[in-house]
Amino acid sequence: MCLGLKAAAENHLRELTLLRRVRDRIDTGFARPLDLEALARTVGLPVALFVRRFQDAYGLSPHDYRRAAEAIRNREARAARPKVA
Amino acid sequence: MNLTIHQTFLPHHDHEASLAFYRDTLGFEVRNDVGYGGQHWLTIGLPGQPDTSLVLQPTGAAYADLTEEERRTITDLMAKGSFAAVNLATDDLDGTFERVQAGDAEVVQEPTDQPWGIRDCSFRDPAGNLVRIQQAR
Repeated sequence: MCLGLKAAAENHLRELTLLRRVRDRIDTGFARPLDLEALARTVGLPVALFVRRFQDAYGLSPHDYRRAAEAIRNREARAARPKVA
Repeated sequence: MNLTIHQTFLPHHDHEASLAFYRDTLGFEVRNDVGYGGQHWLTIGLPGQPDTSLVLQPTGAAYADLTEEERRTITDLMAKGSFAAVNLATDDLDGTFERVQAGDAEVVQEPTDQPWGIRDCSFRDPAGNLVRIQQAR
């Protein structure tokens, strides 16, 4: 039982680590357009389960997360326009 | 007042993996290694910069100020890449990127001109912390 729990915890962390790679690809704009099947393969999950696990981890579906990430990048780009000293 | 930034902290979940990344891949030197209860606190810094150090600290059981649930939450946040970060700078971004990439580090972003005016690249350290390296001006 204890070993089972430990293994489950390790699997959970391994999955989060793989989801983080997807999230980083979306954050840096490399996952455009979103190829859900390719992203799901990097995590080793069927597409529907991948989408659900991504949403569990980051609170948004991959598509919504990408839209939010792009909005943030655009906002940062606008905010970075040179300011008059 | 005359303050300097002396030490700041980054979490690790495997001190040997983090040490391999910061020392062997990025070129940090080890200034102290405190072991306690099987956990390690590693003070590391860059050659020629003795006044500023990073302390790699464990997220394991050695924390007395966290509940088990809080510790689990932090471990999750680290794994999903949402917990801690450090920004470094170099006068040779592209050469540094090539060397770090060749060291088998987890690449997040290749050298990129950012719309906010800097050029940088980024990696994940073995604990999931975001390590950005920017071109110094």
